[in-house]
Amino acid sequence: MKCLIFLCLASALAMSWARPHLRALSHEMVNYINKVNSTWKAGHNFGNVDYSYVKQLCGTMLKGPKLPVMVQYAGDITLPKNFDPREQWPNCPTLKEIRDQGSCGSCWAFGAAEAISDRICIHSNGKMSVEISSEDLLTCCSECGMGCNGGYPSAAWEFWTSEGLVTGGLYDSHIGCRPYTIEPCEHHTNGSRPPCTGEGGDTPSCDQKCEPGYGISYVQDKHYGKEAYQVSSDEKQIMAELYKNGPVEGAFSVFEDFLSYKSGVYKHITGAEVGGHAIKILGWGEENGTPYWLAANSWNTDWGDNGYFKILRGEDHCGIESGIVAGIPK
Amino acid sequence: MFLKVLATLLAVLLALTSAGFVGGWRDADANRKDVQDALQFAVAQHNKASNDMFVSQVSRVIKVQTQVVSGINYSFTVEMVRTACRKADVKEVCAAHPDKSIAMPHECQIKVYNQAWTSTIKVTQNTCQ
Repeated sequence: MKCLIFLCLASALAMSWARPHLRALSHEMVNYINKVNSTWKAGHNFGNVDYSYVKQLCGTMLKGPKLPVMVQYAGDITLPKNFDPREQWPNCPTLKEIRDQGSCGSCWAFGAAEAISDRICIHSNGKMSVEISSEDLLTCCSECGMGCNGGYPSAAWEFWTSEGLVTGGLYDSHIGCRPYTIEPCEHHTNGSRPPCTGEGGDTPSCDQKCEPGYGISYVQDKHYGKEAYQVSSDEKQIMAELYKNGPVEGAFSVFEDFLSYKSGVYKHITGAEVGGHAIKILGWGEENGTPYWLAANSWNTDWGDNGYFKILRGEDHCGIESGIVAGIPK
Repeated sequence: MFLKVLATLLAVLLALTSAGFVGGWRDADANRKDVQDALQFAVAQHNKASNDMFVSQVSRVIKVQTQVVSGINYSFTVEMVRTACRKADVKEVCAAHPDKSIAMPHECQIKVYNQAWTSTIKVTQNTCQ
C-alpha cells in the first residue's frame, strides 16, 4: 500500500516536471462551497476539493495552561441580538484595525495583542489608544511556546500581567516601540506589497529596546494587565464578556475551506484540517437566522470580509467557544 | 486495519499533546491534493535552482506537515534521487537513474508558503544533506 502511494506520488511529480509551473488555481472547492446550500460564500483557492472529507465534523481543541475561569453574572444584563463593538466604542480605532502575521505561526500573539489593545482603550473610556506590539509578545514570551512555530494564547495573556507588553504597529509602520518585523508579501508583480524575501520560519529576536526615534524607553513603554482569565465555553458567558469588557482571544481548528472564506457565516463544509489558529472575537449577531461570532483574522484586509469573518455561534463549531481567554488592563 | 488503528491512536495522542497550542505544525496526509500541489511546485523549484544537468525527483516522502500562518506553510522531508532525464529533454515520466551512484538518494527538507487568496506560492527553505 505504502509503496503504491509513493509510486503514485512519484509519477505525479514526474508528470509535473514536464510542466513545472503550478497548475491554474482550481475553482472546484470554491464552486462546491458556493453551490451547496451554505451560510457563506467562498473566493478562489489553490487546492482541489477532496470529497472524502465532505461533511467531516470539525475537531475540537483542548485548553492550554490553565487560567482561572471568570464567571460573569449575565443575569443582570440584557444582551442585544447584534453587537458590534466598533459601533459601541467608536473612539477606539484599534477595533477597526486588521493586522498581518505573515508566514509566521504567530496567531496566538496577534489574537492577544489585538484584543489587549482594544481593551486598554475601552477600559480608559477612549482616553488611551495604543497598538500593543505583537512582536514583543511573539519574541519575548519564551513560556508562550515556540514563537513562529506556535504558542499558547493563555500564556500570552499571563505574560501581559507579569512582564507587560510594549507598543508596536504593523510592519514598517514606525508606530510605537516595537513594530512587527515580518513583512506581508505578495507573489505577483502588480500587487501593492513587496515580493517575499528573507523568511525562513525563524522567530525574530527579543530585542528589549524601542525603535530609534521613539521617544519612550522600552521599560517605560510596558503596559500591564491586572488579571488574565479564561472564559467558560458557555455562549451567554462569552457574550457577556464581550459586551462588558471588549474583544477576547479565541482559538479554533482551521480546515482547508476556511482559507477561501469571503462572506457570510462560516460553517465547515469540506477539506482537511490544516491546524490550530487563534483570532480575536469582537462581537456577535444573526444573519438570515444563523447566529454568528464576529471575528478579526490576522491575514491582512484582502482575506475574507475585509480581514474579518463570521463563524457559527452556539455549537462550539471547530472548537471556537472552548478556548476563549481574556484579561483586564491595569 | 492496523494502520487505521495506529492513525487513530496517533490522532488522539496529538490532540492531547497539542492542548490549546495554536499556530504549530501538524502532520498531514501526503495524498491530499493541496499537499501534492505544493510538493510538485517545490520539486520544480528545486530543479530550477540546482546546477545539475539531470532532473531530480522525490523517491520517498518521509514526513509532511502543515501550519496555519497568513496562508499555509507546508514542510516536506523527502528522499530525492537523480533521474536519467536531462533537464533539456521534455519527458513525461523520468525514472530514477538505474546506477545508484548516479541516482544518489539524499534527504531534503523543503518548505513551501502558500497564500491562496493572493496567488502567492514560494519555497522558503530548500536544504539537502
